[in-house]
Amino acid sequence: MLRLRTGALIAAAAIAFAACSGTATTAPQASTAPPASTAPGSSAAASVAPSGPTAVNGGTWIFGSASDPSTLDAILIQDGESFRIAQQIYETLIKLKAGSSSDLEPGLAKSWDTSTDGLTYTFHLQTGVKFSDGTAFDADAAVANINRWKNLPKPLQGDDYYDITVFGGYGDNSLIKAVTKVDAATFSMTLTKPKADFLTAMTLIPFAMQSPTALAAHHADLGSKDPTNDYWQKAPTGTGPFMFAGDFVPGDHYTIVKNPNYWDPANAAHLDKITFQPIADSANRLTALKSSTVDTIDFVDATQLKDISSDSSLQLLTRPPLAIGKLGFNQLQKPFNDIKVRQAAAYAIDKAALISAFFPNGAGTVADSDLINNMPAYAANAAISGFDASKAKTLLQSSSCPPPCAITFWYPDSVSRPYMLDPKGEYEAIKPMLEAAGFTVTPNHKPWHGGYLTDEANGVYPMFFIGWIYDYADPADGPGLFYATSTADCNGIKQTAAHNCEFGEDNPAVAAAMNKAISEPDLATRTQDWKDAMTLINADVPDVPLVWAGSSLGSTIHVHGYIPSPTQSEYFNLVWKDAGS
Amino acid sequence: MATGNVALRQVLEEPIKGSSLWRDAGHRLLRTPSAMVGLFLIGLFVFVAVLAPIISPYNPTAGSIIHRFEVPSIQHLLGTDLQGRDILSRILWGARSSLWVSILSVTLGLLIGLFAGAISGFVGGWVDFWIMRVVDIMLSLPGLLLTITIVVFMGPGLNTIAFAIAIENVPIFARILRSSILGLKESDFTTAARSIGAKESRILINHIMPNALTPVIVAATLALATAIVDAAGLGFLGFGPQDPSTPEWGTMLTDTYRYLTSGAGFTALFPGIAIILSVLGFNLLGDGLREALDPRLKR
Amino acid sequence: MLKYIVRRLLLLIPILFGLSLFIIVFVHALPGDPCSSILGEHTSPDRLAACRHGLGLDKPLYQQYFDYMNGLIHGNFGISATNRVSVLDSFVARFPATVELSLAAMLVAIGIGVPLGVAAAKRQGSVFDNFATVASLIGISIPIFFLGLLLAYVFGVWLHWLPTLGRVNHRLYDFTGAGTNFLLWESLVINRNIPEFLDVVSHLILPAIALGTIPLAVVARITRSAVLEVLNEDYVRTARAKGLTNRRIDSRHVLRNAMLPIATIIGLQTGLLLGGAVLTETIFSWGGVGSWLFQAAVDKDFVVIQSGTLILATLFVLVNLTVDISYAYLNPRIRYS
Repeated sequence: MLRLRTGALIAAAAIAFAACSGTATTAPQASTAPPASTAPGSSAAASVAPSGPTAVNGGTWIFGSASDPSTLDAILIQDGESFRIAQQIYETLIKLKAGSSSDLEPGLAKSWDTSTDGLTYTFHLQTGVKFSDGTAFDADAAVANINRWKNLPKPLQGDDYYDITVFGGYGDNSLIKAVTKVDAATFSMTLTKPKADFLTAMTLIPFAMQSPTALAAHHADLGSKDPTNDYWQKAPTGTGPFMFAGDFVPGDHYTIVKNPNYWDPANAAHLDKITFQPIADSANRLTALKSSTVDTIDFVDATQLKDISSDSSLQLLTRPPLAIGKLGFNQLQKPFNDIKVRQAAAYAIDKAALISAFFPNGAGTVADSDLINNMPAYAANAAISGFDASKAKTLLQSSSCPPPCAITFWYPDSVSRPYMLDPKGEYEAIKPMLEAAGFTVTPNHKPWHGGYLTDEANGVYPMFFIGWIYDYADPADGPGLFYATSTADCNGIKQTAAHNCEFGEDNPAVAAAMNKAISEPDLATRTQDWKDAMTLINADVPDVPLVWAGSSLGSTIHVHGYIPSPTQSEYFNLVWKDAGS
Repeated sequence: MATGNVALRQVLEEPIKGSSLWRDAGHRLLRTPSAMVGLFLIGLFVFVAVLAPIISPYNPTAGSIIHRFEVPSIQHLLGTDLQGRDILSRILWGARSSLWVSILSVTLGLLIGLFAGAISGFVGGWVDFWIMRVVDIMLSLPGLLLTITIVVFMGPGLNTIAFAIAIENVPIFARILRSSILGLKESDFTTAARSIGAKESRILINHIMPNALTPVIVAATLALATAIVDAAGLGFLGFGPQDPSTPEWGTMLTDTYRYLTSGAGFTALFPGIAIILSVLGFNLLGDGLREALDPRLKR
Repeated sequence: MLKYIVRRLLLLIPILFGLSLFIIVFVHALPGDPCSSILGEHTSPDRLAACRHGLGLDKPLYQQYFDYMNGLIHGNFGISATNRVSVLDSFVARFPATVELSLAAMLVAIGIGVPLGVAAAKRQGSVFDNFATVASLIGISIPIFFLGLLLAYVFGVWLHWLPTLGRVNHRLYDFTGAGTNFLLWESLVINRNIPEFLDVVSHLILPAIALGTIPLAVVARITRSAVLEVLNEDYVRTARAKGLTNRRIDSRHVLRNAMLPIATIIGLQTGLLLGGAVLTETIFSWGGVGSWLFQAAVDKDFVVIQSGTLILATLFVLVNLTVDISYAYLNPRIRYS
């Protein structure tokens, strides 16, 4: 068995440990280490983390979030607000380097080895780590946590998202074959088949370590229907630099405090306390920031970016893009079964005009692929990217649906996603562009959670807005999901063969290429495999990629050390505030 | 809507005694300046709605994002919106949506509500008991949530919005009609008619109904006002017309508010003012009618 | 009297029963379900089916209704599908915010509406009366969201006079105390902290004005007509003829007798406000019941919508009952059969 270590890990570890050797009062290491990501937005991170001033300890940080956390039982977490808080009170075995969407660094595991067949991983744990309830984090605790993912208690099944997404099932259906303790600080984990993005997936906060004692004492495994289960509301217990101390008023605030016994004193929190105040409306969040009601806000509306960048008492923290917004077609529905109609629609849309209106101030960039332009497998101009009204007209004329070609265009109500800030407005702007090419457009809309998502996933809509926020920068977590096939009965079409409901992208060559890429353990080969797959996919024109979007935080200039991450894996132990602010 | 309906629900609490003196009431109404202002505003509103195609300077649905958020100028008196469309034209056309929703919702509400209220009032007994329990249930549901639920259920569109608002008004109309019928059944003039041997059906048609309808008419006028507010509120929350290019004041207000800092933010004021003026018109008239029809409040 | 109360309470049973049936049928007739909120984009049909099964949404509706009612009878209001918190816990945590906002709004309505109505009635037909009438009609005519946005923009963003969102300044307020979430009470009585109390009050002002404007107009109008009616009564004329001072007549006769309809309308309005002010709470980021239920409606969180609406409707019916009973108590002339 050849022991492998990724290069990224060694480099990251070196930087981390070098910085950790200083005292707690030195500037946080991350502020001096430039973010690994080369995306354009990441330069903002450097500007907010000046290397000059010395970190100040203490103080309360008030953070204007968008809503309350939904759960803090790590394995069930799936929404951004819960991610944010969990990221501070829990830790994973492996972490993403601050600001990066793919570089790994040690977390609760000091190091790890992978077997040559890509099936067995051995983790060597940090020692002397304690959960905030005082119990020890060791191999036993890690094995208990991983067994909980594998054999997710029946009442929790269906409440989870990442467990089933990453491991594909529970019990015998789980990708986890076995997990075995080797000694007090070592354990190994065996998979049923190789999974190329396994280590990256392990950085997701749902796979964080929780105190088995606290889980049991608060009946977390009995499920949400059991009234004795108050684990996440009363006692979410992890090893992180912050911990919950009981102060949660739904709709008003959620507060965490510094963990005084954090196992890694060099990385202990600077702040004493963080209060998250949910403010649903983005205009209200900006008001809260400007009136100093809060120190920092997340998800600044694209139209308000200028208000922050032009205010000398405020700073903008920009996350590199990791979301794709697009216009999808269903190839099983007329007239989009004709590739010329799809191509005509793609050429008809003036993406640049659209982006400058709906993603102003650099909130988004024109997209030409389902992949983000900072991913290794990305190839420029893979999809139809240019705006060419006359070409659109010509294509439509020669298609099976010559002008006036009647189409139904679906957009969602009651939603704003980073990649689709104002769906109704975007639809209204696209409509005249399509009409200029010879389409006759009938709009239709449904609430996002009121049928839109389910109908869309089932292939009911011929043409629709959709998008995706990557959890980490791997195509398997993007096109790998969009164009996946299943034998389910979608939109009433009983399929004998596997079939892609959402886009009707049933090209067998695409399916084969994606399967090859998803199970390829070697990074370089995998990247090439994905490039090949994307070429095949783009040739079919299953969608029109519109925008790559990031998101931005706004903050007073008294907040330092915040490193925005495209995946929102942001570590608040690095954050500090000017004294007296 | 929970709050918009407050004014309407108020009619439930202070029923107006019926009066057959319609002509007197008309005279009194003409002497009430506020009611005349109301009539003027309603007239203006209807005028704009009917003549929108003629008086609008531009096509309210044509535009391009290239010309978004232009400030008011000679070409565009109130500026342009996010899609580069002329705001003045959209406000003028928006009157059509509001007028349509308010008239349709009140008509539907009256049809169902009066039917239920009349049966309840005349038949009495168990029928009355159960109809009134349904009315109680409907009145105790949080109004806005009920309306949103119906709109989501039936799919977007102005007609759906009108129907949802109508459903909200049904229990109010039903209860008003029922209580005035009950009051009139025992009134002196009904007893008098009965004592001279008039048939029950004749009493019903000639004596009770005309008088019982008086408070309903007042309530219907006020309901026209709340319907406009409710429709705008739904538009504000994102439940607007089926085709989003259809001008609708509530939706216009939200759209501009969202981009308040991008362009001429004050343009958000214009649809708001249009809503207030038209609603005020119906409220002034409704209030004038109430006073004119209520002999107790003779001046 | 007692018989009347018992009868009214018994009437509650069919109403609540009908309500629950009505709500559950309605909620389930809607397209979409909480699984869509839970699973998000690009989910597979198998996952959706599994999620529905987990939440029991694949059972026949009558079975779901029976299960739900069975839970209710045992005091179990259910668990939110989106955040896995007991609906009752969420309600208890958020209701104090709604109560404080409703009471503050009613304070605005009564504090301004009653004096305005009395003054208008006493100068019936005067310029002031006409002004008050038109002003109150304008108050009714302003869409609450428009007023809210306007207030927030002018007094918060533009003039910086008052806070426009949330219930407290988190730099100031110490939440580690009683945990009742009745912040006015907590800050004044338990924490005995005047700056905290003033902070809570300052956060209440704008939302209370936005929410209180329509009740204010209604209260002013009712007060006016009630006072007018009393002023025309014989006993007031008698009192005046006896040479009693105006102030004495006002306090002894007019207000006391006009109080009955005013109290009724105040009770009813309070009941309506407690129903959660969706728009006001949304605009001012107020963590009350209204914004909670609205979010649940957006997320299709069935159990929260069902139980939340049921609790609110019950409260509304109870408040109305209380108003009716006090009405009966205050006015023995009214017959209850």
